[in-house]
Amino acid sequence: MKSIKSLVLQIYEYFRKRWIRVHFQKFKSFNKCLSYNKMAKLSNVVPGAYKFVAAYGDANLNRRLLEMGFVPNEEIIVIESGKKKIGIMVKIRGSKIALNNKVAEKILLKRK
Amino acid sequence: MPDEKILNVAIAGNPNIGKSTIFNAFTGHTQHVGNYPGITVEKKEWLKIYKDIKINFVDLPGVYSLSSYSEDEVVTRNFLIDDKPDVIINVIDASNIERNLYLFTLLAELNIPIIVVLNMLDVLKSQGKIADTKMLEEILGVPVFSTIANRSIGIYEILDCLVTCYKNGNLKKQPIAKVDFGEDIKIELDKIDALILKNKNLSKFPSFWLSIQLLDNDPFALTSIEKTENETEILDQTKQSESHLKKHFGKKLETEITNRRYGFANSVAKTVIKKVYSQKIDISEIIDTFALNKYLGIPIFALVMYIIFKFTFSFSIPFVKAFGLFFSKLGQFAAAILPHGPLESLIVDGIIGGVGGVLGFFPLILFMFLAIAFFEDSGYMARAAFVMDKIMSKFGLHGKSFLPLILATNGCAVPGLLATRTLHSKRDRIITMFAVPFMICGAKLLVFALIIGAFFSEKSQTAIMFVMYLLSITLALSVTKLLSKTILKSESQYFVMELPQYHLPTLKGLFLKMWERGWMYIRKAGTVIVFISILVWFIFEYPKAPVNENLSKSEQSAVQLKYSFAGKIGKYIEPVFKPIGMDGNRGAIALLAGLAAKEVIVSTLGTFYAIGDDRSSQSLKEKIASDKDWSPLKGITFLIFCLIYMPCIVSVSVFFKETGPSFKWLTLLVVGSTAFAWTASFIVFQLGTLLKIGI
Repeated sequence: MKSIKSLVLQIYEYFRKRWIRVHFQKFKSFNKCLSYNKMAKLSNVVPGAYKFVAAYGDANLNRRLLEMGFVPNEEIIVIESGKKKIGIMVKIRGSKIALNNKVAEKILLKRK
Repeated sequence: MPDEKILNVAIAGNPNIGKSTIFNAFTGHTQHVGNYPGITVEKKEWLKIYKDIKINFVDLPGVYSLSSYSEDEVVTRNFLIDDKPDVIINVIDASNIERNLYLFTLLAELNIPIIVVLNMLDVLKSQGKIADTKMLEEILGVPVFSTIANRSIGIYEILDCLVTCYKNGNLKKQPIAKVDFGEDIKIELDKIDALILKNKNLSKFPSFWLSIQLLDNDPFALTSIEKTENETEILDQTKQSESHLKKHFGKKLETEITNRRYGFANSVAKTVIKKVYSQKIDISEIIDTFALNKYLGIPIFALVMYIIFKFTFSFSIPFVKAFGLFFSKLGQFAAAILPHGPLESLIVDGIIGGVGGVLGFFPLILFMFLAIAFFEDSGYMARAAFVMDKIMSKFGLHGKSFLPLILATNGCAVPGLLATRTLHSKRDRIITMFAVPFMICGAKLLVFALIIGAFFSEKSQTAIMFVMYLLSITLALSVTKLLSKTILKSESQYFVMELPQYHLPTLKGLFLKMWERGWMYIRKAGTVIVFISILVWFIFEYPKAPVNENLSKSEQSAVQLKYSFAGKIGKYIEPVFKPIGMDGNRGAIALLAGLAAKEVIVSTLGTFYAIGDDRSSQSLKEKIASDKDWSPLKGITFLIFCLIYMPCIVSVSVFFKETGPSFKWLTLLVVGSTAFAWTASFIVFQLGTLLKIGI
């Protein structure tokens, strides 16, 4: 009985790993994976209208952003972004907010 | 008969929406009003008697929420919780009503009556929108007033409302609108609420607020229930509710709570704000496309700084000349009417010579303040922080560190040091506090204006001054770079900052601000500097040298100098100052006295030259220029030493308090900067002597 059970488990494990490989390894990087899911980091997007998905910085930053109005599914208009620019500017809830690249890398957006 | 009870009124709101302006309009008292976040870092109080009721207005730092992530938020929250004001005046920026209402939802849970003041209606109007005040009043259940504070409209209505509501107790029965968190959260909140109500130690907190904060995982709420009766019970219940709700919503509870709050704010904003006509042109956007451009941003910033200096120096020259002439004439006049003797010497040489030296440059400072106040109030300075962030972060600073540095340049290092409280991490604060004393504050500006004025032609003065400012910034940045490479290695904090709308500053606001900062100088000149001038006069004049009739006046004063205390002190410290081109008496004593306050350097030189001369009408600048012991090189060396060496006693004590208090940083600042100053001026002086420049 035990050997059958372990065999089933092994088969399951094989297929699970294969599934992961098929679904995720085609993405060469995290950014590619994001773009497949129609998401992008704020630091990589072109200006336009987006939806806020999540922030994954430390607790302090997440809290700060939440208080500034960065709530999931909230509309964000990116005014300026890109590494070569002077900084990153977004419009959320009618006010303009300036960020630096370090924060922008921790913010996930979804195309509208 | 006046009512003995004092009505405590707290003014709260988001950063940079004109709280301080409203505070000023209420009290008639002038307080610094800036157009970038975090200008009020300490609460300010002012008592006003209106219709026989004593009203104590408290201006709180601007915050986005009541959590505890930065110092200014802690100040605000502690005041609201511990001191329990009778009324909160919540100032709301009408042009950005959604974010401002978020704070309202937090304040509404504190069980304190609220009066809402809608500010910046002019900005809203320029966007082609209007706000329905009646509707807002109905929805929120609190009195709503609209004002345009910088024209002080509607201030008396608010005061009347405060007084009448207070007298008939209407405020207590306010039906304040609270955010509906939904059935699920409400049930869990009630469970925690019941437990908190049982606990007598927690009775000073509004129970509903505390239970939300607990669910919200706020560190302050967690520490405040520590070591109270049923701590474990409350904590267990909180954990249970949290896990239950997390399963229910499938996401973090904090997000859900904030979402509900913003949902409330959003729906209120949608009902209240109505669009009348579509917006024509947004001037803020147009200016920003240039001011925040990738290539133009930094040149524009440099241009703005140069305009400030150009304005200051070219417009103030006639006034400075007139003031200098006035004080030398005053000295002559006083000498003429007073009997010859020690009293005359004290008043003419000690007080008029010393204090006159400082006040002679007063117009310069006023012009400087006016120019910087213009850019501050217009909203450019917040952009400058953003523009500078990339450069600042290369030197281990935070973009916001720029604001304390500007404040220090714009007056005094002390407000600069206090303004570092807006930075969120300890590391950023300390590193910025090391940079602040290097800036050329108003007091150092006097010294610079005196020495540069004495040795360089009028045409090149502005340019040399500008170079000195650049030098001070370079020095500050290299120090922070060095610190971030050695002692404070960790990364700098995140930069998230709201950019306010541009608006044209009012003339009244600018002059109020200029005068308030200028007044600080006059007050200092009237107290500390008078005292130190007298002290300095005394050590130069006593003990008296034996009178020798054969000597001329100048020889006599040289002999007197040798006999006096100053001469004796000078002899001891001369070996230290000789290699950097200063003799023991003038420069060294002035620099030593300058530890009390940097203006004293000027007043000491003033006293010194007043003693040694026979009441001529020359101004201090001309006297120094004609003294053979000075040379342009010595002047520059003197300035470099003065720029870098240990900050004045007041700054040092504030620095000590704000860093911890920590002796480690204090020693580093005092010893490090003085040693650095000596080395730098040694190199400059010796190189200059070798190459024979400016001797």
